[in-house]
Amino acid sequence: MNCTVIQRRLLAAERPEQPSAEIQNHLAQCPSCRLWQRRLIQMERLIAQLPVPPSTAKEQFLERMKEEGKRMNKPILVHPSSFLLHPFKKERGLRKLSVAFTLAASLLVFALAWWSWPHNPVPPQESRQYVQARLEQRLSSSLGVDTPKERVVRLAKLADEIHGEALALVGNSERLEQWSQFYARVVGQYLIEQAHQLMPEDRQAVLADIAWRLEKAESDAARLATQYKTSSPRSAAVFQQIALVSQKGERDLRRLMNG
Amino acid sequence: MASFDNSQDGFADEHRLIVAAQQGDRSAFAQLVERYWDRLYCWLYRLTRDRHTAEDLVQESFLKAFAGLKRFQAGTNFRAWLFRIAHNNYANQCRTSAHRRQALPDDLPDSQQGPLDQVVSTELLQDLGRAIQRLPTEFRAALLLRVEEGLSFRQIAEVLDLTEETARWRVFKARQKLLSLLAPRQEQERERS
Repeated sequence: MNCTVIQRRLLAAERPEQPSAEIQNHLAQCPSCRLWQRRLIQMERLIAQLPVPPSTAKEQFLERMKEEGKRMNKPILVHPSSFLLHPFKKERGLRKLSVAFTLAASLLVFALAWWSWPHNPVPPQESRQYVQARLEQRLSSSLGVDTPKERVVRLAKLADEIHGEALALVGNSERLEQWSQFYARVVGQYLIEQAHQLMPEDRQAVLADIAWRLEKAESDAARLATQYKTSSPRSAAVFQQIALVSQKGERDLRRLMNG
Repeated sequence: MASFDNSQDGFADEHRLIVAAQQGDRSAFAQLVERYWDRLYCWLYRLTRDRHTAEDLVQESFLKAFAGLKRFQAGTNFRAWLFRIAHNNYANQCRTSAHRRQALPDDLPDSQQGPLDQVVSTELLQDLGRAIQRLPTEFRAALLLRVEEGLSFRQIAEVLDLTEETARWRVFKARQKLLSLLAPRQEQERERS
């Protein structure tokens, strides 16, 4: 086994500090892999030592739980009147009636307020972070499948969607830039990484269509970059960026298909 | 950080606490809170980089755990179950707030000086903190469960609702990215020592 294989196995190991006998044999003879393994182990030990500010809420939480428990365990005081058989039947009936009346009045007030309120309020602009979190969620669900093949297919679909959505964001340069950056990550980073994980015999079948779609994405984005060059230079620059990312992605995939 | 008893006795003790808590014994549940608070808080703090958000999420997770304790099957993995509740809370929180992309604060709190700290520079620790923040959240969550909690890939999969293979792949990617980000600093440290 060569050093790359050994290092990948260590990265995938549950306990890199306790490698298999085969890896240990290699490590015994290879100083550079030994150093590499030491770095990995050191890094993991350091993570556990990274500082975390102390939490002060635990005691309060436990105290509150205790108090709540006491309150719930307190014996319920039984009113002597409950031992009498229906002594205040009429009074209870009147109380029920007043509750019903109050409820009906509240409903009427609510209905009037609802009727007078504008029914199609403009939704507030979503914050950049909120939108980013939603994008990350989509990426996460694309990555959360079992095989590299499935991941490639899902990532390509996500790239298509992001590309399509970006085309609709002309004029909103800030949001468009956010989409473009995300697109660059999906295509330039994750899609290519996953494509490398494909079995060689699967590459042609899976990647050919995706490469073609990236080619189309490139020409669409390049066309828009030209179209908006004067009316919206900032959007045009972003479309140019998307075109470049698509072009590079397409070339990388084709290189991979051709071995 | 609270130490955790992984021995057979520790598990038996935990099982006893869970069964008692399921029958409404609040002091037993309080002991479970004592046992897991710091671990859960630490993980959530590293995900959110915000003490108050992390504390809120821990509280919410314990309240949900308490409310749903009857549904927990005693004898299965309580820790994974609890972390899974916390992860779901965190995911919900990400959908509704803007805490996720916070920058790493410059003034990191002081860590306790251990033997390793004495030979490792502050720069390396800070670089590592920043590098972890640059990891995609899904990689970070998996790696921290592996490194700090010592969960197996199978248990990580259980917490994050993934397959074991995906959990392994996420830890693999997180390690690979961190090593590449830290390589220059580690090289400097090595030359210095």
